[in-house]
Amino acid sequence: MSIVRFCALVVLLLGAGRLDAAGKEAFAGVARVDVTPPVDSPMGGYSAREGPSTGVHDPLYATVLVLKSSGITVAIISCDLRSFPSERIVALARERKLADHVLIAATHNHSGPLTWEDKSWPRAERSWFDDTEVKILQALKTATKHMFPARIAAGFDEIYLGHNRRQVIADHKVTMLWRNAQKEPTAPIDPTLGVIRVDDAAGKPRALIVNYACHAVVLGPDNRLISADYPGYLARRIERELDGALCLFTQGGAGDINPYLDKQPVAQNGFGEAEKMGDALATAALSIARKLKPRANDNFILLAAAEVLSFRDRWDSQKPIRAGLTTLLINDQIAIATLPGEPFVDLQIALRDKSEIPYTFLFGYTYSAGGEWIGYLPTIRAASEGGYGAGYNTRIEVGAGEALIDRHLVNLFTLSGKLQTSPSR
Amino acid sequence: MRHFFGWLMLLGGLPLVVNAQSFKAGVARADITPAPGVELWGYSNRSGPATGTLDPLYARVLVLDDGHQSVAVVTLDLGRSFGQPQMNFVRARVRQMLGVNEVMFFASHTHSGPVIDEDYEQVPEWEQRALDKIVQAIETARGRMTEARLGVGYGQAILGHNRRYIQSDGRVKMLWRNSTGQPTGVIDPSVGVIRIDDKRGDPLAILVNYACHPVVFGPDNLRYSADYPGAMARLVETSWNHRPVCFFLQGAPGDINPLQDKTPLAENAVAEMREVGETLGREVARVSRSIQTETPPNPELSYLSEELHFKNRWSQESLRSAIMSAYGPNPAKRYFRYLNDPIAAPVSTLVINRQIALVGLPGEPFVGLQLLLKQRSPLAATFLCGYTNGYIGYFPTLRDAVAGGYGANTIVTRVEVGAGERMIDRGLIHIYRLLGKLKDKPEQP
Repeated sequence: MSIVRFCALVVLLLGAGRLDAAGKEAFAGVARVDVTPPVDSPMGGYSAREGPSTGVHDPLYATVLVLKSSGITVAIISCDLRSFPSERIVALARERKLADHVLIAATHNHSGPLTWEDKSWPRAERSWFDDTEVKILQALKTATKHMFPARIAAGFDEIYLGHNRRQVIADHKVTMLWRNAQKEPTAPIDPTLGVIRVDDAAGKPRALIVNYACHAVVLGPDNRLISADYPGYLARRIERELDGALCLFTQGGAGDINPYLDKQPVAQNGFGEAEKMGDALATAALSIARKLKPRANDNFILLAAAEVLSFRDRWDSQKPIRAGLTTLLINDQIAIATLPGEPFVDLQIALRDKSEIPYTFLFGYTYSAGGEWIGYLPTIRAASEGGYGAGYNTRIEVGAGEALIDRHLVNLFTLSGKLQTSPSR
Repeated sequence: MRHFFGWLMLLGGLPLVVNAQSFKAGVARADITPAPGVELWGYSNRSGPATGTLDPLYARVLVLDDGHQSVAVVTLDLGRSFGQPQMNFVRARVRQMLGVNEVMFFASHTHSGPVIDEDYEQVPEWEQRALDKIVQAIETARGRMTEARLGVGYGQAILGHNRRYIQSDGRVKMLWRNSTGQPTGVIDPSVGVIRIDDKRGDPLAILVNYACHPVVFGPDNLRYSADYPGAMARLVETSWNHRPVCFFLQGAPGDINPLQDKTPLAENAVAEMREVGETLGREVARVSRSIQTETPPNPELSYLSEELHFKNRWSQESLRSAIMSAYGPNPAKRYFRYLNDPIAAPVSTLVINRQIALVGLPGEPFVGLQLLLKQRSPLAATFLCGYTNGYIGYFPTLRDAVAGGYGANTIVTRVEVGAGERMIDRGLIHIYRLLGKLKDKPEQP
């Protein structure tokens, strides 16, 4: 693996130091844009699906939260898509001085369109992907234009809605347990549900980030209606109850985690089950959110590190794969670590165990800084066992997951000023 | 562009499936003690060079052969393994002359041995003679190879303490010596023992893995000594009539000192050193007697060595000024190698009969890394060996780099934070690959 750091920003932001960053208040802005693709366009997520979309069940959104403090602006964008790696958004947001860092978090919805894999539809010269990039940049601009003084707090709880779909049986073999309607216990899983609440100066919630690790695949390949799956239901329910707030769902390390009712056929209440799951998650998230009391803070510290690391292709060591990551640290209380692929849940557990920040969030399926979509990120052990997401359908070298998590830890220790910068004798 | 991980340097035989061959082993030993007058390793505050020899410094050689390839394990009573050009000299000679495919060099890290540099304009006379003797010893050991049996056992010894004492405020205070045996922090008391017998069941080789700095002697000692691992080996070797050769594979003692650290000569350091070594030796002797060796039905040696590249942790200016302030205005040339950036780090893994893994790191890993590897390895008999196939300073864990202290944020640590974990990950990947559990080509379902 080689490491490339071409973001001068890293040095700049780390170097700007905690003292310069302190003593400022924070501002936030929100916006939302509809990114639903046209009917009759190719859908992503299942090779078993036959044919393009036939209609829209519920719309797909990109929801933007911009945070500004300490001289930097960070945009977190949650989209109801499988993945949305856009180097263009990251670059143009910087160029147009909209945001220094953009985190494009996909909910990993499998009932949406094909995204970056095929940018030729509906027309090669003007694709849905290009249009969506433009729309997201516009929403980002809108959010930055209507900033308000913000207060932030985070909280955790636990909820069991997913299982580990890779069952390691005797002799180091794996069988896939896609669906687990009986809710048999599996391991590893991480039931942590995390919430970040952003209020305005009046104490009114304006944005709620909900982070949970579970594939958005309650709807299966039989469904050909565009839908946001359970994260869509979750967001609608939260927004109904917290009037005036936008919900941003972000995935965690869901690379090996499926909902109990995986691929529930539409004819067997597929949408109803997606709604039940979204509701259960929303109820738990609201209960966390209502207990939080974001306070005014005129000593707000927002710090970020971003870099693009270069790894090798697992199956072709001559071929590099570039992976962009961003580490955010908010008031030494909230950490956000992004990965542009599908991390296994053990990586999320490892990050949270070691970060030394009370509220640490892994945003999987989140593109930032540059580079490409790196696919599944199994642990070394999982890669040795195989199974879906650990074997043939991975592309980045074995060990990349651990290396990326450790980079986040080094970034967090550096941002929090815990690492000495010159040697003692 | 910086290379954090480099390319696979060597892929010494992924196992071939062929008719079962016999597992063979041969041993030899060479005295590599320099003449007096050589500068000593380990402490910068000595009054002068070596004045004589307390006990000889040995290179011990074990040649293993699975019928397809042979590997030489060379343990050294030295502060570090030789520099890359010198090790490559030995490797090239034995590959060409004897068909020995790989040589792994393990140093005990004794602080009462000669200084060794990575590279020279002219290799010092003693060192060239040592390298030549090692080539001869590998030839001798190969000539003595005989059908062999193998077994592994474990014991416990508490000879050391974690010298980075974390105080209640979270700050580290160095507790070099701890003669009262006050509990300080994480250690690994496990003693790993590999026993290799001849066909009749008489031991030829006993390999010992344990993590503790060999620093019972302090800077006042100016005579060559293998420190406690030498005393340990003498006891183990003489405890068997058959006189096996005892190999010390230092573990990950980057933060582990003997309780009796730097015992002054005036306070009977020689007796103290022997007592520490013999305490370990008695445990090794006991464990070695309990091991039931077996003839490996399908002998298989597999080896992987990979060169990783890490960023230097410090800026050139801050490191240069720290070197000047630590070693004076005209520091020896070897200290300027600290400024290398990137830093090449060979990580090498030997898997013996799909049962035992030796993972060698080129420097001083903290004990936390040894525990991490043992925890994650699919092989119960996994031993992390520091000071192996090179030397690039200390490897703290991420957490230890934050807490600080000697070896964690000082000039003896040059590789970037996280390098220790990366090397352990690579060692683990090597083990899986050598066991055939990570393939180079995707297998379609």
